[in-house]
Amino acid sequence: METRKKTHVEEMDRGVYDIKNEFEYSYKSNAGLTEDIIREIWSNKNEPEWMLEFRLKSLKIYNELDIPNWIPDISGLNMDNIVTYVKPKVDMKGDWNEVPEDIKSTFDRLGIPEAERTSLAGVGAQYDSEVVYHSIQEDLVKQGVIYTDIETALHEHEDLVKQYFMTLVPPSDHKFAALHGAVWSGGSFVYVPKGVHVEIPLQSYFRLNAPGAGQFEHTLIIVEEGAKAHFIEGCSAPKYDVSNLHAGCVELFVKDNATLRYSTIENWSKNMYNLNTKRSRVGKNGTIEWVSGSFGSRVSCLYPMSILAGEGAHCEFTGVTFAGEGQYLDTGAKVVHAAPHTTSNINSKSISKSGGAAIYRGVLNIGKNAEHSKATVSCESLMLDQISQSDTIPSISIENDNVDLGHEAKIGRISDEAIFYLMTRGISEEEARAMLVRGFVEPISKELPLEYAVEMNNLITLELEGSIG
Amino acid sequence: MSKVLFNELPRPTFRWLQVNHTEGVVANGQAPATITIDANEGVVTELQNKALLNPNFEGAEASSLLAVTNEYNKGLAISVPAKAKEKVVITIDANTASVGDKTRVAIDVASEGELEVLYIVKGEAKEGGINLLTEVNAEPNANVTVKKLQLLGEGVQQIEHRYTKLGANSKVEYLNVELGGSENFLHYTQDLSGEEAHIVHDLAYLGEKKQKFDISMLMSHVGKKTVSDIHVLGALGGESKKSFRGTLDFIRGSVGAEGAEEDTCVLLDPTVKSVSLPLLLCKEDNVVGNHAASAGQLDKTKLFYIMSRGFSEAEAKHIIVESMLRPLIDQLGSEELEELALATVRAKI
Repeated sequence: METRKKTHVEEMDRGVYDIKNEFEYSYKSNAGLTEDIIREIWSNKNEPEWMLEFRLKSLKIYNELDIPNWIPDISGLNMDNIVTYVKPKVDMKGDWNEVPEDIKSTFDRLGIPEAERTSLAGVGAQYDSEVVYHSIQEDLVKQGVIYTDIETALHEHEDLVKQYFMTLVPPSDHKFAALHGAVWSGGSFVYVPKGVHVEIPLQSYFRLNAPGAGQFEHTLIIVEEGAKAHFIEGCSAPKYDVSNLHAGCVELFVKDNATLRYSTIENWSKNMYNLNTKRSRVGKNGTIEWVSGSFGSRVSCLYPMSILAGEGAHCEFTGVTFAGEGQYLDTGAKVVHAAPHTTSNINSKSISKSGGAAIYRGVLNIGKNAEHSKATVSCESLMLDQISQSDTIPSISIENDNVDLGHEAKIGRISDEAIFYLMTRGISEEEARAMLVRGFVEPISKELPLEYAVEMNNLITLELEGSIG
Repeated sequence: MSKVLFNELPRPTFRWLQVNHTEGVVANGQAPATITIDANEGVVTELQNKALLNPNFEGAEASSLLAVTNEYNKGLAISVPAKAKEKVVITIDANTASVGDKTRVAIDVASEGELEVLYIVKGEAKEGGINLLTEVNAEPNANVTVKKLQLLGEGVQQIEHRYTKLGANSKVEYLNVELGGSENFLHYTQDLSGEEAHIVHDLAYLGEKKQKFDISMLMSHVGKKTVSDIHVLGALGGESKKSFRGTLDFIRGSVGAEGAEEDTCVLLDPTVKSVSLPLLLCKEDNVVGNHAASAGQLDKTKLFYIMSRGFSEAEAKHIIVESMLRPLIDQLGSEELEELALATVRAKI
């Protein structure tokens, strides 16, 4: 039975995102984090022995590491209360008709099956801790493309998974990477063979329905030499009165001359702590393109990282963050130029309103051997009222003389003149503001797939409701 | 000697970058520098009040700030009455083999007063350190200019702490030309508390060999319509390093404030290192904040143009670096000092 209600009396109805299903599962772990719980998860998922060792080693690292001193306040997150594994009442299916009706309806409302029919080459849908649906077009399978849930990959392509899994983001990277290593579940595995171009996007959608639970999906993508792919990730959850945690991990291996575009719209509910890690390693003349929209969550720490390891590697990052009431979204991008002739462009926009805090935190490191590298960074922040916060915290480090670097950032508010001009043309103040905000993020929205651009515009409209006055 | 933390970033970031502070050791030397003062009678007196203008001021580093606050070898109070106009030249001459100097200067410029202070920090010392604390209280409508030319020897450490409190409609201009020293830990906290207070800080540096320039500037916009402008410009050669931590902090209520910071670094050798952390912190929507950072080699078009006029590549580089720093050096306001600074620049490149 579905219950639909507003998330908060003072908030707008987030519509489809807030519809929650009855909390049903076939198995769930106890709350907290212990060796017994990890052994249970491992046993339940029937994984190889090396993965148990990996999980236990990660747990040990988790217990040894402290919480970084620079991150936002996460004191509302108590790991003792978080359920790290919730197995839904269904195994993975390849046909939507076999997915239980309430879960299928959730994804229907989010537009996933519709998008699959019209504009996607493959779809993965995760519900709580496990993937419940996965499909891929037959012609891609014939070309050797693998797109499946990571559990299946672990059994059917164990050598590949073992070769790459958490090598780019090792559990020792930080406390929540270690947590991920210990309790990860679900996620997608993509392998694009040498020279294959996947022209139509693949999309995975992660939905967390269980209250007080964590989602720890792992996305592993390998794009071999000269290959090309576009991967879209969507995330959402309904709002509960208890804290939820998302500590996913994305590892992207972009080989020589390969191209990968990774698009995300994160729209978690505002009780979510989103402590996510995303990283790519790019080979010679390879390209990684990140398109990132961060809207939801109570606290977010998300800084997709690109390691330009091969000569001529290129990174493009386009991101927008929108922080409303009660939100602290600490987002940004990290680029390491580790080879000659590498190039990067970072373009970040953030908006804060109703007491929300939007923080841009960035890293640009140009190493000793990255001669002839070029990098540009542009950060723009828009504050819609006097009670919000907007900070820019970039770090730029250069260790050789043959580079070309440009960085600029600005902060400000919507110009009164621009609002006045639009109002003289018969547009209401509210609509004028919304138009200007949409114009502000337009460089980002045009990089998104159409349906995501529409979703982002809808989210902006939702977020702007009630903000005028 | 124990390691200490210099120039801690007001808002820390990723720890693996190792940029949240700079680890170092406070250098000890044998003898104080020779301090000479050139000023009208009664303007400069011995410092009597040891209390800091802002008790929460953290300076470049805690232990060295405490030492220069309480155990200075020279303490000076500069006081300019309302509507008066004064000029003070302070020369800190590290003329012993091993210098260990702690000089503290407290400046108070009353309403509508005008003061220009020129620091000349130089000397033949081979080792040790200079520890300089300056506190500036610019009362409403006061006008304060502090210029500094630093030409210390290549084995001498410099630690400078400076705190400024700006009253309503006061105007403060700072100019640093930093050419010498082994390690330069420079810290400037500016408290723009008065409405329409205005501060400009220009800083030029030129690094060679293993010189280190560790610069921290914090512009705290409290008052309405306050304006700050940071312009850090320099060149690095040899194995020299520069870290710039610049923060524009718009406190809630600083309606109409404007801040800008620009960090430009020219890289002359492949073994240099430049770190830039230009922070913008904002809790007020009606402000304008901009920052920009750029780094790169000398402009190849300019280089080609000059070389096409018969100059060698090395000579062309000299001309470009000199012409880049010259607008700031020319502001020192003393032909003799400007020539001295230019001669040092030419010798270093």
